[in-house]
Amino acid sequence: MTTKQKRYESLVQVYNKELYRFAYWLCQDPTIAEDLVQETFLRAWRSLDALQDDSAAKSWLLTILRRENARRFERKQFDYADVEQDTLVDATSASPDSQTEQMMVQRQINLLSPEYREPLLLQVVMGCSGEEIAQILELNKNTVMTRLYRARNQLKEALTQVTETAKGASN
Amino acid sequence: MDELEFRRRLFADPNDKDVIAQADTDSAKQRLVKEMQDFDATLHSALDISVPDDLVQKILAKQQADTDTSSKQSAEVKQLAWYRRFKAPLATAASALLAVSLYFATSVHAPLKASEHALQHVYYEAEALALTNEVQLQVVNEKLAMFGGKLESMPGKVTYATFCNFKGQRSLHLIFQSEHGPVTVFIVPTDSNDAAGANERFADERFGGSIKPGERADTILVANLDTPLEQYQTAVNDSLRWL
Repeated sequence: MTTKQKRYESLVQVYNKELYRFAYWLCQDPTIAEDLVQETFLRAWRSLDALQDDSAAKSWLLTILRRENARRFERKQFDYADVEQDTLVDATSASPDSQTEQMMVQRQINLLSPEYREPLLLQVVMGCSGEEIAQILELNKNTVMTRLYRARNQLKEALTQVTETAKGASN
Repeated sequence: MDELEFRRRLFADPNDKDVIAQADTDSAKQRLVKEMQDFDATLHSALDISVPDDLVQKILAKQQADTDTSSKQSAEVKQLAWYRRFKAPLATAASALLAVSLYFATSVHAPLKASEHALQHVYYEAEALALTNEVQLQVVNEKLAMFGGKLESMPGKVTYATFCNFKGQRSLHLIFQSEHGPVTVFIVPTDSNDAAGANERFADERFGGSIKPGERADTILVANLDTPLEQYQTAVNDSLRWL
Protein backbone atom coordinates (compact mmCIF):
# COMPACT_ATOMS: atom_id res chain seq x y z
CA MET A 1 0.00 0.00 0.00
CA THR A 2 1.33 3.44 -0.88
CA THR A 3 2.02 6.06 1.78
CA LYS A 4 -0.67 8.24 0.26
CA GLN A 5 -3.20 5.41 0.49
CA LYS A 6 -2.28 4.73 4.13
CA ARG A 7 -2.56 8.37 5.02
CA TYR A 8 -5.94 8.57 3.32
CA GLU A 9 -7.32 5.49 5.03
CA SER A 10 -6.33 6.73 8.44
CA LEU A 11 -8.11 10.03 7.76
CA VAL A 12 -11.22 8.10 6.77
CA GLN A 13 -11.04 5.95 9.91
CA VAL A 14 -10.57 8.91 12.22
CA TYR A 15 -13.15 11.30 10.78
CA ASN A 16 -15.90 9.35 8.98
CA LYS A 17 -18.26 9.05 11.94
CA GLU A 18 -17.99 12.64 13.15
CA LEU A 19 -18.34 13.98 9.62
CA TYR A 20 -21.41 11.85 8.98
CA ARG A 21 -23.06 13.10 12.16
CA PHE A 22 -22.20 16.69 11.33
CA ALA A 23 -23.52 16.25 7.77
CA TYR A 24 -26.68 14.60 9.06
CA TRP A 25 -27.52 17.48 11.37
CA LEU A 26 -26.62 19.97 8.69
CA CYS A 27 -29.02 18.58 6.08
CA GLN A 28 -31.23 16.36 8.28
CA ASP A 29 -31.39 13.56 5.75
CA PRO A 30 -29.46 10.29 6.12
CA THR A 31 -29.09 9.69 2.37
CA ILE A 32 -27.85 13.18 1.61
CA ALA A 33 -25.55 13.01 4.63
CA GLU A 34 -23.99 9.82 3.32
CA ASP A 35 -23.53 11.28 -0.16
CA LEU A 36 -21.97 14.40 1.31
CA VAL A 37 -19.46 12.42 3.34
CA GLN A 38 -18.53 10.16 0.41
CA GLU A 39 -18.12 13.14 -1.90
CA THR A 40 -16.07 14.98 0.71
CA PHE A 41 -13.63 12.11 1.12
CA LEU A 42 -13.39 11.63 -2.63
CA ARG A 43 -12.42 15.27 -3.08
CA ALA A 44 -10.05 14.96 -0.16
CA TRP A 45 -8.37 12.02 -1.89
CA ARG A 46 -7.99 13.93 -5.13
CA SER A 47 -6.28 16.85 -3.43
CA LEU A 48 -4.63 15.05 -0.54
CA ASP A 49 -1.24 16.49 -1.49
CA ALA A 50 -2.57 19.94 -0.70
CA LEU A 51 -3.00 18.96 2.94
CA GLN A 52 0.46 19.49 4.36
CA ASP A 53 -0.24 19.32 8.05
CA ASP A 54 -2.43 16.47 9.33
CA SER A 55 -3.37 18.45 12.40
CA ALA A 56 -5.35 20.72 10.06
CA ALA A 57 -7.16 17.75 8.53
CA LYS A 58 -10.40 18.19 10.45
CA SER A 59 -10.87 21.84 9.45
CA TRP A 60 -9.87 20.99 5.91
CA LEU A 61 -12.41 18.16 5.61
CA LEU A 62 -15.13 20.32 7.15
CA THR A 63 -14.41 23.09 4.68
CA ILE A 64 -14.78 20.63 1.81
CA LEU A 65 -17.99 19.22 3.25
CA ARG A 66 -19.56 22.64 3.74
CA ARG A 67 -18.66 23.58 0.19
CA GLU A 68 -20.23 20.36 -1.10
CA ASN A 69 -23.35 21.09 0.87
CA ALA A 70 -23.57 24.60 -0.57
CA ARG A 71 -23.11 23.16 -4.07
CA ARG A 72 -26.19 21.03 -3.48
CA PHE A 73 -28.33 24.17 -3.48
CA GLU A 74 -26.67 25.61 -6.56
CA ARG A 75 -27.40 22.56 -8.67
CA LYS A 76 -30.49 23.08 -10.73
CA GLN A 77 -33.23 20.75 -9.69
CA PHE A 78 -35.58 19.31 -12.27
CA ASP A 79 -38.91 20.42 -10.93
CA TYR A 80 -40.92 17.20 -10.99
CA ALA A 81 -41.59 16.49 -7.36
CA ASP A 82 -43.43 18.89 -5.16
CA VAL A 83 -41.01 19.39 -2.30
CA GLU A 84 -43.39 20.85 0.24
CA GLN A 85 -45.52 17.74 0.17
CA ASP A 86 -42.78 15.16 -0.01
CA THR A 87 -43.25 12.72 2.82
CA LEU A 88 -40.98 9.84 1.87
CA VAL A 89 -39.23 9.88 5.21
CA ASP A 90 -41.56 10.48 8.05
CA ALA A 91 -39.33 10.27 11.10
CA THR A 92 -41.10 12.80 13.29
CA SER A 93 -44.60 11.39 13.34
CA ALA A 94 -44.04 9.58 16.64
CA SER A 95 -46.77 9.87 19.22
CA PRO A 96 -46.32 12.41 22.03
CA ASP A 97 -45.75 9.51 24.43
CA SER A 98 -42.59 8.40 22.70
CA GLN A 99 -41.21 11.91 22.53
CA THR A 100 -38.26 11.29 24.69
CA GLU A 101 -36.03 13.99 26.04
CA GLN A 102 -33.57 13.30 23.26
CA MET A 103 -36.13 13.96 20.59
CA MET A 104 -37.09 17.20 22.28
CA VAL A 105 -33.48 18.26 22.35
CA GLN A 106 -32.98 17.30 18.70
CA ARG A 107 -36.08 19.22 17.76
CA GLN A 108 -34.94 22.34 19.53
CA ILE A 109 -31.49 22.12 17.95
CA ASN A 110 -33.14 21.91 14.53
CA LEU A 111 -35.20 24.95 15.36
CA LEU A 112 -32.12 27.08 16.01
CA SER A 113 -31.32 29.42 13.15
CA PRO A 114 -28.46 28.08 10.99
CA GLU A 115 -26.06 30.80 12.11
CA TYR A 116 -26.35 29.53 15.69
CA ARG A 117 -26.80 25.87 14.91
CA GLU A 118 -23.74 25.40 12.76
CA PRO A 119 -21.11 26.66 15.22
CA LEU A 120 -22.77 24.60 17.94
CA LEU A 121 -22.63 21.45 15.80
CA LEU A 122 -19.00 22.12 14.99
CA GLN A 123 -18.21 22.44 18.68
CA VAL A 124 -20.31 19.61 20.11
CA VAL A 125 -20.23 17.05 17.28
CA MET A 126 -16.83 17.80 15.77
CA GLY A 127 -15.06 18.96 18.93
CA CYS A 128 -13.75 22.07 17.17
CA SER A 129 -12.18 24.90 19.15
CA GLY A 130 -13.36 28.49 18.84
CA GLU A 131 -10.41 29.26 16.56
CA GLU A 132 -11.16 26.31 14.29
CA ILE A 133 -14.83 27.25 14.02
CA ALA A 134 -13.86 30.83 13.21
CA GLN A 135 -11.57 29.59 10.45
CA ILE A 136 -14.10 27.16 8.96
CA LEU A 137 -16.99 29.61 9.01
CA GLU A 138 -14.76 32.55 8.03
CA LEU A 139 -15.88 34.63 10.98
CA ASN A 140 -13.88 36.28 13.72
CA LYS A 141 -13.57 34.39 16.96
CA ASN A 142 -15.60 36.87 19.03
CA THR A 143 -18.54 36.47 16.69
CA VAL A 144 -18.27 32.70 16.99
CA MET A 145 -18.19 32.81 20.79
CA THR A 146 -21.21 35.14 20.87
CA ARG A 147 -23.16 32.80 18.60
CA LEU A 148 -22.23 29.79 20.72
CA TYR A 149 -23.40 31.63 23.83
CA ARG A 150 -26.70 32.57 22.18
CA ALA A 151 -27.20 29.06 20.82
CA ARG A 152 -26.94 27.46 24.29
CA ASN A 153 -28.93 30.24 25.86
CA GLN A 154 -31.81 29.82 23.40
CA LEU A 155 -31.72 26.05 23.70
CA LYS A 156 -31.81 26.15 27.48
CA GLU A 157 -34.72 28.56 27.50
CA ALA A 158 -36.66 26.61 24.91
CA LEU A 159 -36.10 23.29 26.66
CA THR A 160 -37.09 24.71 30.03
CA GLN A 161 -40.31 25.96 28.49
CA VAL A 162 -41.05 22.67 26.77
CA THR A 163 -40.42 20.67 29.94
CA GLU A 164 -42.65 22.95 31.98
CA THR A 165 -45.44 22.74 29.43
CA ALA A 166 -45.12 18.96 29.45
CA LYS A 167 -45.26 18.90 33.25
CA GLY A 168 -48.25 21.22 33.21
CA ALA A 169 -50.01 18.99 30.72
CA SER A 170 -49.45 15.83 32.74
CA ASN A 171 -50.75 17.37 35.95
CA MET B 1 -14.02 38.38 34.98
CA ASP B 2 -17.41 39.73 36.10
CA GLU B 3 -20.62 37.66 36.45
CA LEU B 4 -21.85 38.46 32.98
CA GLU B 5 -18.54 37.72 31.32
CA PHE B 6 -18.30 34.47 33.29
CA ARG B 7 -21.74 33.41 32.13
CA ARG B 8 -21.14 34.36 28.51
CA ARG B 9 -17.88 32.46 28.33
CA LEU B 10 -19.24 29.44 30.13
CA PHE B 11 -22.22 29.23 27.77
CA ALA B 12 -19.94 29.64 24.77
CA ASP B 13 -17.67 26.83 25.93
CA PRO B 14 -18.49 24.86 29.09
CA ASN B 15 -15.03 23.28 28.96
CA ASP B 16 -13.08 26.54 28.84
CA LYS B 17 -10.32 25.99 31.44
CA ASP B 18 -9.98 29.69 32.36
CA VAL B 19 -13.67 29.90 33.10
CA ILE B 20 -13.71 26.71 35.14
CA ALA B 21 -10.75 28.02 37.16
CA GLN B 22 -12.77 31.15 37.97
CA ALA B 23 -15.41 29.01 39.66
CA ASP B 24 -12.90 27.45 42.03
CA THR B 25 -13.83 29.44 45.10
CA ASP B 26 -17.44 30.19 44.33
CA SER B 27 -20.01 27.46 44.90
CA ALA B 28 -22.74 29.23 42.92
CA LYS B 29 -20.42 29.42 39.93
CA GLN B 30 -19.41 25.81 40.41
CA ARG B 31 -23.05 24.79 40.26
CA LEU B 32 -23.50 26.68 37.01
CA VAL B 33 -20.37 25.04 35.55
CA LYS B 34 -21.73 21.63 36.51
CA GLU B 35 -25.15 22.49 35.07
CA MET B 36 -23.69 23.60 31.74
CA GLN B 37 -21.43 20.58 31.48
CA ASP B 38 -24.39 18.29 32.12
CA PHE B 39 -26.36 20.23 29.54
CA ASP B 40 -23.58 19.68 27.01
CA ALA B 41 -23.56 15.96 27.77
CA THR B 42 -27.29 15.96 26.98
CA LEU B 43 -26.67 17.80 23.69
CA HIS B 44 -23.89 15.43 22.84
CA SER B 45 -25.97 12.31 23.36
CA ALA B 46 -28.93 13.78 21.46
CA LEU B 47 -26.70 14.44 18.45
CA ASP B 48 -24.91 11.14 18.66
CA ILE B 49 -26.90 9.29 15.98
CA SER B 50 -25.76 5.95 14.62
CA VAL B 51 -23.55 5.87 11.54
CA PRO B 52 -24.19 3.38 8.68
CA ASP B 53 -22.01 0.28 9.19
CA ASP B 54 -20.67 0.19 5.67
CA LEU B 55 -19.77 3.88 5.40
CA VAL B 56 -16.00 3.31 5.52
CA GLN B 57 -16.17 0.57 2.86
CA LYS B 58 -18.26 2.78 0.61
CA ILE B 59 -15.85 5.69 0.97
CA LEU B 60 -12.85 3.51 0.19
CA ALA B 61 -14.61 1.78 -2.72
CA LYS B 62 -15.41 5.15 -4.25
CA GLN B 63 -11.82 6.29 -3.88
CA GLN B 64 -10.55 3.02 -5.36
CA ALA B 65 -12.83 3.38 -8.36
CA ASP B 66 -11.63 6.93 -8.81
CA THR B 67 -7.98 5.85 -8.66
CA ASP B 68 -8.62 3.15 -11.27
CA THR B 69 -10.31 5.50 -13.72
CA SER B 70 -7.71 8.23 -13.35
CA SER B 71 -4.77 5.87 -13.99
CA LYS B 72 -6.63 4.45 -16.99
CA GLN B 73 -7.27 7.93 -18.25
CA SER B 74 -3.66 8.99 -18.05
CA ALA B 75 -2.68 5.94 -20.13
CA GLU B 76 -5.22 6.83 -22.78
CA VAL B 77 -4.53 10.49 -22.77
CA LYS B 78 -1.99 10.43 -25.59
CA GLN B 79 -4.17 8.56 -28.04
CA LEU B 80 -7.16 10.69 -27.24
CA ALA B 81 -5.44 14.04 -27.18
CA TRP B 82 -6.02 14.98 -30.83
CA TYR B 83 -9.62 13.87 -30.69
CA ARG B 84 -10.33 15.70 -27.46
CA ARG B 85 -9.25 18.97 -28.96
CA PHE B 86 -12.21 18.75 -31.33
CA LYS B 87 -14.60 17.15 -28.93
CA ALA B 88 -15.19 20.16 -26.70
CA PRO B 89 -16.32 22.67 -29.37
CA LEU B 90 -18.33 19.97 -31.11
CA ALA B 91 -20.03 19.02 -27.88
CA THR B 92 -20.84 22.64 -27.18
CA ALA B 93 -22.28 23.13 -30.63
CA ALA B 94 -24.24 19.90 -30.34
CA SER B 95 -25.69 20.79 -26.98
CA ALA B 96 -26.63 24.25 -28.18
CA LEU B 97 -28.38 22.68 -31.16
CA LEU B 98 -30.12 20.21 -28.87
CA ALA B 99 -31.27 22.98 -26.56
CA VAL B 100 -32.66 24.99 -29.46
CA SER B 101 -34.40 22.02 -31.03
CA LEU B 102 -35.83 20.91 -27.68
CA TYR B 103 -37.15 24.39 -27.12
CA PHE B 104 -38.96 24.38 -30.44
CA ALA B 105 -40.04 20.79 -30.13
CA THR B 106 -41.60 21.29 -26.71
CA SER B 107 -42.89 24.82 -26.75
CA VAL B 108 -44.09 25.44 -30.28
CA HIS B 109 -44.72 22.46 -32.46
CA ALA B 110 -45.46 19.28 -30.56
CA PRO B 111 -46.37 19.44 -26.89
CA LEU B 112 -45.04 16.44 -25.02
CA LYS B 113 -47.61 13.66 -25.09
CA ALA B 114 -48.91 12.28 -21.81
CA SER B 115 -47.35 8.90 -22.57
CA GLU B 116 -43.94 10.40 -23.23
CA HIS B 117 -44.18 12.52 -20.15
CA ALA B 118 -45.15 9.51 -18.05
CA LEU B 119 -42.13 7.52 -19.25
CA GLN B 120 -39.78 10.44 -18.79
CA HIS B 121 -41.17 11.04 -15.34
CA VAL B 122 -40.61 7.42 -14.32
CA TYR B 123 -37.03 7.48 -15.61
CA TYR B 124 -36.42 10.76 -13.85
CA GLU B 125 -37.51 9.32 -10.52
CA ALA B 126 -36.13 5.84 -11.20
CA GLU B 127 -34.61 5.72 -7.72
CA ALA B 128 -38.08 5.78 -6.23
CA LEU B 129 -38.80 2.39 -7.87
CA ALA B 130 -36.30 0.77 -5.53
CA LEU B 131 -37.93 2.00 -2.34
CA THR B 132 -39.26 -0.73 -0.09
CA ASN B 133 -40.79 0.94 2.96
CA GLU B 134 -44.54 0.76 3.00
CA VAL B 135 -46.61 3.92 2.72
CA GLN B 136 -49.91 3.35 4.50
CA LEU B 137 -53.05 3.62 2.40
CA GLN B 138 -54.27 6.20 4.87
CA VAL B 139 -51.32 8.44 3.98
CA VAL B 140 -52.09 7.98 0.28
CA ASN B 141 -55.71 8.88 0.90
CA GLU B 142 -54.81 11.98 2.87
CA LYS B 143 -53.08 13.21 -0.26
CA LEU B 144 -55.78 11.98 -2.61
CA ALA B 145 -58.40 13.75 -0.50
CA MET B 146 -57.02 17.01 -1.85
CA PHE B 147 -58.44 16.02 -5.22
CA GLY B 148 -61.63 14.71 -3.62
CA GLY B 149 -60.71 11.09 -4.16
CA LYS B 150 -60.17 7.96 -2.13
CA LEU B 151 -58.69 4.53 -2.81
CA GLU B 152 -60.45 1.55 -1.23
CA SER B 153 -57.41 -0.62 -1.70
CA MET B 154 -54.32 -1.01 -3.82
CA PRO B 155 -53.25 -4.13 -5.73
CA GLY B 156 -49.92 -4.19 -3.90
CA LYS B 157 -47.80 -2.62 -1.17
CA VAL B 158 -47.49 1.14 -1.78
CA THR B 159 -43.90 2.30 -1.45
CA TYR B 160 -44.06 5.82 -2.82
CA ALA B 161 -46.67 8.54 -2.65
CA THR B 162 -45.99 12.11 -3.51
CA PHE B 163 -47.60 15.03 -5.25
CA CYS B 164 -45.99 15.80 -8.53
CA ASN B 165 -46.27 18.00 -11.51
CA PHE B 166 -47.67 16.04 -14.44
CA LYS B 167 -47.48 18.25 -17.49
CA GLY B 168 -48.24 21.24 -15.31
CA GLN B 169 -51.11 19.52 -13.53
CA ARG B 170 -50.77 18.82 -9.83
CA SER B 171 -51.11 15.07 -9.59
CA LEU B 172 -50.51 12.14 -7.33
CA HIS B 173 -47.54 9.89 -8.09
CA LEU B 174 -47.75 6.43 -6.51
CA ILE B 175 -45.67 3.30 -6.74
CA PHE B 176 -46.91 -0.08 -5.61
CA GLN B 177 -45.12 -3.41 -5.68
CA SER B 178 -46.71 -6.05 -7.89
CA GLU B 179 -45.61 -9.64 -8.57
CA HIS B 180 -44.04 -8.28 -11.72
CA GLY B 181 -42.12 -5.50 -10.05
CA PRO B 182 -42.90 -1.91 -9.17
CA VAL B 183 -45.87 -0.27 -10.90
CA THR B 184 -46.05 3.51 -11.11
CA VAL B 185 -49.49 5.10 -11.00
CA PHE B 186 -50.21 8.72 -11.86
CA ILE B 187 -53.58 10.04 -10.85
CA VAL B 188 -54.04 13.19 -12.89
CA PRO B 189 -57.16 15.27 -12.16
CA THR B 190 -58.95 16.13 -15.40
CA ASP B 191 -60.01 19.68 -14.72
CA SER B 192 -56.97 20.61 -16.75
CA ASN B 193 -57.60 21.64 -20.35
CA ASP B 194 -54.89 19.26 -21.44
CA ALA B 195 -56.49 15.91 -20.64
CA ALA B 196 -54.91 12.69 -21.75
CA GLY B 197 -57.56 11.87 -24.34
CA ALA B 198 -58.51 8.33 -25.33
CA ASN B 199 -57.48 4.98 -23.87
CA GLU B 200 -53.94 4.50 -24.87
CA ARG B 201 -51.15 1.94 -24.60
CA PHE B 202 -47.53 2.87 -24.98
CA ALA B 203 -44.13 1.34 -24.39
CA ASP B 204 -40.42 1.77 -24.87
CA GLU B 205 -37.67 -0.83 -24.58
CA ARG B 206 -38.01 -1.06 -20.80
CA PHE B 207 -41.45 0.02 -19.67
CA GLY B 208 -44.98 -0.37 -20.85
CA GLY B 209 -47.78 1.95 -19.92
CA SER B 210 -51.48 2.51 -20.22
CA ILE B 211 -53.69 5.55 -19.91
CA LYS B 212 -57.31 5.40 -18.90
CA PRO B 213 -59.20 8.66 -19.02
CA GLY B 214 -61.71 9.16 -16.22
CA GLU B 215 -64.41 11.65 -15.42
CA ARG B 216 -62.58 13.13 -12.48
CA ALA B 217 -59.06 11.95 -13.15
CA ASP B 218 -57.03 10.04 -15.66
CA THR B 219 -55.03 7.12 -14.36
CA ILE B 220 -51.74 6.36 -16.00
CA LEU B 221 -49.79 3.21 -15.20
CA VAL B 222 -46.18 2.51 -16.07
CA ALA B 223 -44.45 -0.79 -15.30
CA ASN B 224 -41.97 -3.35 -16.57
CA LEU B 225 -42.83 -4.69 -20.01
CA ASP B 226 -44.18 -8.08 -18.93
CA THR B 227 -46.63 -6.63 -16.41
CA PRO B 228 -50.35 -7.32 -17.06
CA LEU B 229 -51.24 -3.65 -16.97
CA GLU B 230 -54.95 -4.03 -17.80
CA GLN B 231 -55.51 -6.11 -14.72
CA TYR B 232 -53.84 -3.49 -12.48
CA GLN B 233 -55.47 -0.60 -14.29
CA THR B 234 -58.89 -2.12 -13.65
CA ALA B 235 -58.03 -2.84 -10.02
CA VAL B 236 -56.88 0.73 -9.42
CA ASN B 237 -59.82 2.31 -11.25
CA ASP B 238 -62.36 0.08 -9.50
CA SER B 239 -61.09 0.99 -6.07
CA LEU B 240 -60.95 4.70 -6.82
CA ARG B 241 -63.89 6.56 -5.29
CA TRP B 242 -64.77 10.21 -5.76
CA LEU B 243 -66.63 12.36 -3.27
